[in-house]
Amino acid sequence: MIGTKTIATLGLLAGGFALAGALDSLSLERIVARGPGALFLIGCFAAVVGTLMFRFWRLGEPSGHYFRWARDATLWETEAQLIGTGGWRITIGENRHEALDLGPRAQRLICIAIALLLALASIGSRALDLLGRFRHSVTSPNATYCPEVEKVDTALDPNAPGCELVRRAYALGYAQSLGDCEARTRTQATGAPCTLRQRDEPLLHYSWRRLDGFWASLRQNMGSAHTQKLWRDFVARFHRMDALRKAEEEVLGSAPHASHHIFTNLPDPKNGAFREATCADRYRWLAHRPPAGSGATRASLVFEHVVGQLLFESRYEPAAGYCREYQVHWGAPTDICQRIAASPEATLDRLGALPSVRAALERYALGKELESLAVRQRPLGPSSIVSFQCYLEGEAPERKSTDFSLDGFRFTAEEIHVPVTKAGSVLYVDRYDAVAKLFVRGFHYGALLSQAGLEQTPTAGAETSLARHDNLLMRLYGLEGFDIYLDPAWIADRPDLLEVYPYQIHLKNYVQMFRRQYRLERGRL
Amino acid sequence: MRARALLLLSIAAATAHAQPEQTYRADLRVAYLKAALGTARETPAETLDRAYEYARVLDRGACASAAVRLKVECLMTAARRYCKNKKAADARRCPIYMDLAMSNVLADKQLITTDRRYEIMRRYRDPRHELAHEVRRVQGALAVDFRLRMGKVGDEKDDALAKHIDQYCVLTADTTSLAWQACASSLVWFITREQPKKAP
Repeated sequence: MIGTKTIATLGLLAGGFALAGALDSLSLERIVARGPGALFLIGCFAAVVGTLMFRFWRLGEPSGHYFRWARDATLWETEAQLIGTGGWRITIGENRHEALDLGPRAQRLICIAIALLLALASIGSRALDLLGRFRHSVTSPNATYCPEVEKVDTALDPNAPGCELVRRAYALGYAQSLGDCEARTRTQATGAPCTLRQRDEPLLHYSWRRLDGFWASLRQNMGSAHTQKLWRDFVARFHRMDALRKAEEEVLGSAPHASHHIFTNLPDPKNGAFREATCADRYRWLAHRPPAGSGATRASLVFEHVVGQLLFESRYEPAAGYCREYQVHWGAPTDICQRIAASPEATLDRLGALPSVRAALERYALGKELESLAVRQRPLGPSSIVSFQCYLEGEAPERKSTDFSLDGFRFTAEEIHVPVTKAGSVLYVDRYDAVAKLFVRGFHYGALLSQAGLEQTPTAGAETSLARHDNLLMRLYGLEGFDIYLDPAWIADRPDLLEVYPYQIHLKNYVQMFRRQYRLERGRL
Repeated sequence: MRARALLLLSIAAATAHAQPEQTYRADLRVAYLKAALGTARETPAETLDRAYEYARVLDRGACASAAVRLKVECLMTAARRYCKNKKAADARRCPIYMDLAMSNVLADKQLITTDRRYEIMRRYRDPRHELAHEVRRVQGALAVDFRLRMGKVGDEKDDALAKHIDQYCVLTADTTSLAWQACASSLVWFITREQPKKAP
């Protein structure tokens, strides 16, 4: 014999657990992913709603009725048969304090637990965001009104230098049209129509407009075409339930969006370079010049610096890639690219590169499968999200590309050979050029791309000027016209000038030009 | 014997010619900054103001050019002319304070970003005054950062101060994205101009 209130709360609790299990709301990753704000809201919701449930459903009092599992043929005086027959039936009867009921504290705890499970299943960071926006829209005094129309002041249009003169010339008949200035004026004047209440609109008219809009949208949403579309969407999603679940798992598990592999015969500098856990912080900011060093790892340190600067440093603009998706394989044999092309699966597996490559390709395939559900992924091909580059020092300069297939996709192993850096060298412009050409086939940093532009004419006059002892401060501004990434020329022999060279101008430009071209070839889903 | 000695001398001379002189070595930079500090302290404020104003007018006027090297050459020629007719004591100091003033004018572009400059031009009725105020504010911020990073240096000891300024400007060129010459001239200008002049 058990009280109906106890049965109801225990049933709701079991239902809550089942719902949370089905939606995977109780997994640690999902709980952590909600963020502290959403978790606080969930806690508050559970405490308030759970307590209200307990109060309004009077769960602190004993149940008015009970359920009994009756195995005998005779019913008791105050009860009736609910379901079952013969010796197996459940009866319902009036409770006279003899049925088993949970105590008030246990009931309250269960109510809070039910509300907690409900909140976990329905409140996420998006819900919190929506609530915040709702509060803002309610409290904002202008929320229900269209904003004031700004007067288009073309005379003060900051984006149209010279437009004032053009307009004047047009007004006087010296020009046939306004040209670009006309387009700018139109862009300024037009915008999306505002459907909120106009400043001079009567309340009744506005209410009627809202009602009319509501009725139109209701008719549209209740129409058979809309219902059929909803049904089709539901069926399509239902048939791709596994793919959707997998896509969600990839999001939650932070599966790689790309997988780029760089193989080099340089030794591992053993300084934590390109380590997954620390690379984002390590390459956020780098010195302008590679570290001066000596010994076996000097070339590795320079290579790390150049790669970090070209791809990941975010001082000047957003990084060109996410460093966790780049793996540098140190100490690779000099024929590594040929080996990959000959037997990609075995070689990549041996080097530990295969799992991340497969994960990225799997994400790509999943995205393709879900495209029919309007879940769009970035329009990138497999060769854009998975790449293989080999940087090899110690041989005559050479650039090769070898095609191969992996899992049915075509890839190219890019390979570059460069001679070893001269001992005592402090300028590594050739390394920047080699690494840039490795990542972007045909990359060329020419005079037209340089900030120095056509001014870049290294003359003996400039060299002589910077060898004089007067006006030391002013003369240095002349260096802004020399782009060492274009051609270091005589500046390479002046370590004193390299110390005060304006890297912030030319290195910034070099990195920007490289990334602009790199983004055309590579990316992440 | 004499012929061999002459040959050796000529080889040495040729080698010396092949190796360009390192005019921007750290010790030479420090020596120049020390001279600049001394000159700026000795020169009356009005003279420095006039030099700065002259440099500013040239930068916007006769020497205005998109090619930096052309502008620099023009400013240097103008500075030489400006200093030509100065009297003895001022003639000695003039090339250095003119270099300092012109370097500060050229540094303005680096100290105030284009966006900020545009904002000032739009917002204020007297943008020239506001721009000067902004430059002074940025120079002040740079000087505070210099003090915090390099510690307090006895300002009377120009040797130590020049060395610290040079080190600071080389080391922080990475973080501030400010060229060495812009950083050094800004610091020298601000520190010497803001410090009360010693009684004669």
